[in-house]
Parts: sequence; structure tokens; C-alpha cells
Amino acid sequence: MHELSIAKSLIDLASEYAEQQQASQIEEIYVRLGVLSGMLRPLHFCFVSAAKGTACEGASLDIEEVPITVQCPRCNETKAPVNRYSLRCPDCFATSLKIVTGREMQLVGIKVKANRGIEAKQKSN
Amino acid sequence: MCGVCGCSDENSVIRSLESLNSEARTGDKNTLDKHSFHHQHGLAVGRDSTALHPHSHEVESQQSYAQASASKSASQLSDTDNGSILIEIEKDILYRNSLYAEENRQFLSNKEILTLNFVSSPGSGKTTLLVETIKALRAVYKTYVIEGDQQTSNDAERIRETGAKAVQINTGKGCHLDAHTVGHALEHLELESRSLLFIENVGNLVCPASFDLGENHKVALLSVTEGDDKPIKYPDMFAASSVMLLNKIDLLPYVKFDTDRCIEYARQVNPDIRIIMLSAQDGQGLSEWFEWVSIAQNTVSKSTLKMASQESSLRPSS
Repeated sequence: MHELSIAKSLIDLASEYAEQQQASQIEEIYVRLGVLSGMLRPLHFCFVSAAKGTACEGASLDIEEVPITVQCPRCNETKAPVNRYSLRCPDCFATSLKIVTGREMQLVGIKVKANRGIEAKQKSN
Repeated sequence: MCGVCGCSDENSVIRSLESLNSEARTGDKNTLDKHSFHHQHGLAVGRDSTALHPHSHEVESQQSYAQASASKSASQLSDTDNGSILIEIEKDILYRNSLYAEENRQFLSNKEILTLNFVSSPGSGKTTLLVETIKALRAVYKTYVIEGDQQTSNDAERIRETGAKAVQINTGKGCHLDAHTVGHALEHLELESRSLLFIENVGNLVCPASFDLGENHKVALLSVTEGDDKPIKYPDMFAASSVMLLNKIDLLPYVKFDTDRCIEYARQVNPDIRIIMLSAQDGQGLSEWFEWVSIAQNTVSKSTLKMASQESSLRPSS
């Protein structure tokens, strides 16, 4: 169920940026998701229903998947852990590892259809 | 949706932390909530630490974060060859929740309140533990409770029997509490300084892990009637928690539960997690838990005192 809240947060955030550019339709949404977020499949599933009636309806999702990496204090290196359920160092089996990447849930950007408002804004800059 | 009153936040304008801070400094009086007539948002009293929960739904003069950043620079906009425009955003998807959580955290920290967010599966003994904790510590700390459940106010009623003030939030179809809902619940509690605030999240080992409510610590409960591999089956929850309370240990002789293995699994997903074994029913291990709570509350008070003394030492002497 939290997948739906997360999908809705994404849609609200993306729609707000689109609105600021007076764009009524978002063509593509670029998202960065860490493997540990557990959102890779659920986001696709929830997005279509949650986007209905919003500027995100019909937009395609472009998801960049971020693998898990951990910092091993013993080896002093950043590397992939044993697996996602055991975040140990694959070489020295140390356990006190900091997760460096893999938790991300970020809206990277959106692609919207250009309109006069934006073109004028770009010229003035 | 606001879980306390059911009002919708669809039209809300989210403000940046900077704008909230400037509002706090200027004591902006134009921040009255549009629908404060049907529940108190407590904004008329200004935005100092003694005010009620300081968030409104709509502030006409404020720019939203999108407005602020969209108008900031054109470098965030770039043309594509087919007449489309790319807008760079680079924000956490739960940015809105994080803003509300930060507001809650600031408000609670100003009052030196220790806030614990209790997370577990349904039936692990959260409410029983809270009742016992309130009873044991009530001579020392005033305690407030925010109860999250899909339906009923049964848990809040159990808490109120101890004399503690409790607000029940029914999430309906929702599976977790969010920072906005908790912010509104805070308005109903009239919190005293240096007290304890316990938030009992919806019984669910998955969803509440993702939502910061503005708490100091998440406390995960796991009972020995559940599987000993829960920490690796639901790693996010145990990774996000500062403490794991292994509850119902009075039942260990009757169930197949490997304590050592469970602890090892918990440390695999969170090497720093503090583990306390206890039984809220027969009382064993509870003193260690109470001690942890007292130390955590002292830390909250001391860190605020330290900040205050640093501030005063910066002021020129008169």
C-alpha cells in the first residue's frame, strides 16, 4: 500500500513542476530507484492508476536502477555486498557496513511538451 | 488526506524549509489555515516553540518549492530535438513528507520532547508495552501517545486508562502514518516540554519504514511468536530502527524461536541496532528498556540545552 502513497508523491511533485512551466501534459518522468527501495516493480504497477486525471496521465516512466553498494571499513573500499539480504563485505565478511547507494527514491526530471510560455522564458534568459 | 479531520491536502502549497524559517522569524500572521474553523491548527499564536503545531495548508504569499526552483535558473531547462523540454528536478520522491517531518522534528525538539515511533507487525505487543512503560515512568515523565490503526479507537482507550493523553488516528485503507497526519495529531495534544511522545504506527513491517514522522528514533518490536528470520525478511524496518525490542520472551519455552539467530539477522541488516529482550506481560527485561528511554530523553534535553547555551555565549554581554 505504501507504494501507492509513493507513486502519488511522485505524481504530485512532477505535476507541480509541470504546472510551473504551464505544461499540461508530461511526456516522460525520469526516476532513480535504489534496489533497496523495493519500488522497481510496484511503481510501474501503481503509477498508471494513480496518474489518472493528472498531468502525469499517459507519461512513460524511465527508471534508473541503482545497485546496492556498501563501504567496508576493514577493506576501506566501496563495493557490492554479499547480497541484498546480507549486507556483509563479500571479501572479509565484515558486518559494520555503511550503505552508500541503493536506498534512492528520487525524481530526476520530467520531459514536457514545449509551449510558448517556456520558449519565451528561455529567450528572456 | 488529513487523518485527524479527513480534510484533503490536495490544494495545499508546500513551503520550503527556508520559507518556514523566515516565517518563524517574522511571525507572519497571514498564515491562518483556511479551514481552521473545523479543527484547530493553532497558527494564530505565531510560530515560536510554544505555539501549537506550526503548519498550515495554504499560504498565499509563499512560493512553493517548485516555483522557487523553477524560476531560479533556466539551466534546469533544456530543449530536446522534438520540441519537448527537459526539466531537471533532482528531489526525493517523499520530499513533501520530509518537509512535514522536519517541521514536526523542529517543533518537538524545541520542546525537548523525546519522540519514539513504534513499528512492528500487528499483535507483537506494542500497546501493552506502551501501557507498561507509561505506568512505570509516569512519576518522572509526562507521556503522550499518537495511536495509528486502520479502524477503532480501542488502543487509544487502553492508553487513556493509564491517565496519559492519547489521540487515535484511523488510517482507513492507509497502511502507515505520514508526517502530515502526525503534525495535525500534535495539535490535539498540547504537549508539555521535556515529555515523552510515543507514536504507535500501524501494525505493518513494510510501509512505515519509508515514512519519517519527525521522530528521534524508530523502535522495532518483534515477538518470539513470530519467525526468528523477520529481521532479514523485512530488512528495511530493522535497518531504520535504533532499537529492536524482542518481546514476549516469557513464551520462549513454548515456541520454536532461535534468539541467537534472530539477533544475528538483526545485526546483519543493522550492525548498530540496540537489542533488548523483554516481556511486557511479566515484566522481565523492562528495566533495561526504561533505562534506555530515560537516557534517550536526557540526550534530547541536553542537546537542546547545549544549543541554547551556545547561542547565549554568542550574544554580546550587556
